[in-house]
Amino acid sequence: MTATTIEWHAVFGLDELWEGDFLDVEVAGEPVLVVHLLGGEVKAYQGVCPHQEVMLADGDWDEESSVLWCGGHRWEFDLRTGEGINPAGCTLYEYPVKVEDETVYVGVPQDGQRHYNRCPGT
Amino acid sequence: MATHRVALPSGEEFSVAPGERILAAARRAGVWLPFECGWGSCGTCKATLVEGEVELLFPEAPAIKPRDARRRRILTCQTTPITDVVLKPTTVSSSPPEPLAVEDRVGTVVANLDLGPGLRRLEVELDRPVRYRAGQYAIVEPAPGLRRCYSMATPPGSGVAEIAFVYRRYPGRPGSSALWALRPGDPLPLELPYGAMWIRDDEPTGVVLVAGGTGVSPILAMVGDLAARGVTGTVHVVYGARRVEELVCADDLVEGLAALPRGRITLVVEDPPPGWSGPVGTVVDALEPDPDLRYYVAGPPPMVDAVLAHLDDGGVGLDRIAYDSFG
Repeated sequence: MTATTIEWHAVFGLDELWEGDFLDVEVAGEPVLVVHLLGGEVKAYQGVCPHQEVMLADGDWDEESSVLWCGGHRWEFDLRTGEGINPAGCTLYEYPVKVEDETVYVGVPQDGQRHYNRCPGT
Repeated sequence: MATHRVALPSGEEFSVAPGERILAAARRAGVWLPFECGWGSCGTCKATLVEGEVELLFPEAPAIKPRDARRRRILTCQTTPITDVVLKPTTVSSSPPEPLAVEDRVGTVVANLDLGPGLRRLEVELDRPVRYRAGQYAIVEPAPGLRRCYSMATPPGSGVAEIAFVYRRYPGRPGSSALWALRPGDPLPLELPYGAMWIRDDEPTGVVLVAGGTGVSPILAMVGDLAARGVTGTVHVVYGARRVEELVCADDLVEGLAALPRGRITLVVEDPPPGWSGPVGTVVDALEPDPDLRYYVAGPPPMVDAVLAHLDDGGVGLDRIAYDSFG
C-alpha cells in the first residue's frame, strides 16, 4: 500500500489571515475554508456547506467558541475539529495544512476523490 | 442610465436593464444562478464581483455581512450593475433547480376578504396555472418598488391558476398597506415560487407544522396538500396567535386534518377568552419536540427563533427542520 501523495499549495501569508479570522480560497479548483483559530492553530476545511453547497465563508462566526453558522440554513460547525454541532454527525472534510515561513499551505490529497462531505437534510 | 453586461467566467453573458436585479436578469436570459429566498435573507445567491461596480438595492438585507466587502461578495438578488461586470457565482445552470422554477407573472385580484382583526385573504387569478410546492411563497409587488414575500395558502395540486395569501396589515408599513388597498380587478405583479420550506413527497414518519399568526398561510397549503395525497403518518398542526379572533382559517385546517388518519391540531393563544380550554402561551408552550418527526415552522422572526431554540433543546437537529420567517 502506498501513501497518498499530497500536493501542497501556498494560499495565504499569516499577515493576511489573522488569528481569529477565516478566509476562503480556491485550491486546485476546490473551494477551501482556511481558519486561523485563536491560540494560533490553522485548519482547512471544505469551503461549501455539506447541506446545500452554500459557501461557508459567507456565514457567521464566533471566534471565541470557534463556531461557524452557515448563512443558508444556520447549520453549525466547530471549526476546531470540523464537526457538525447542529445537526450533529455532519462533519466537514478537513485538508492537511502546514505553516512555513509565515505562509499557510493547504494540502490536496492526490487520491482522485472529491474532498467534501455531503449531508442532505430537509 | 444604461443597460450593462454581466459576464461569467464560464462564458455566459447577459444584459441587465437599469435598476434590474442581476439574479432576475440572469433568469430572464435563461441563466440560472444560485438562489433560494429571492430577497436577501439567506445569502445563497452571493457571488464574487471580479470586475466592475454595482449598486446594492436593499442595504438592510439580513444576509449582508461585514466580511462581504473585503471578499467582494454581492447578493445578486438585490444588486444591480452600474458598469459592465464580471461575476463569479458558485454554480451556473441552463435550467432551474427543481422546486425553484421562478416565473414572472401578472395576476388579477379576485378578492381581498376580511378574516379577522387586521387579517385578510387576498385571492389572485393568474392567466395560466403555476406550479409550486406547498409551503413556498411569491414575491409580490403591490406598488412599484415594493417587493414583499407572501406564502401561498392554496395547495398547488399539479398546477393552479388561482392562488391566495393570508396576510396581516401592519399599520404604517407600506408593503402590507399596499396589499390591503388592492381591489378586485387590480393587477398584481408577482414572481414565484421561492423558498425552501416545502413539503417533501416522502415524509417518512410524520410532520409537525408550526404556525404563528399569518404563518398559517403556508401551513394551510401544506395541510391541503397532505390531505389531497392522503398521507398516513402523523400530521400535527400547532397554531398560535395572541387572541382567538386572530386564529383565522383554523376551521380550514381542522377540515383538512379530519381527512387524515393521524391528523390533529393544537390551538394556542396568549390571551385566552373566558372558558378557553386549550393551552395558553405561545406555540413553544404547546410543542413537544420529537426527534423522529420533521418540523415546518412559519411565523414572525421572534417566534421562529424561539421554536428553533426549543427544538434544539429537545434534540431535533436542523436537518429535520425547515422554516420561513417573515413579518
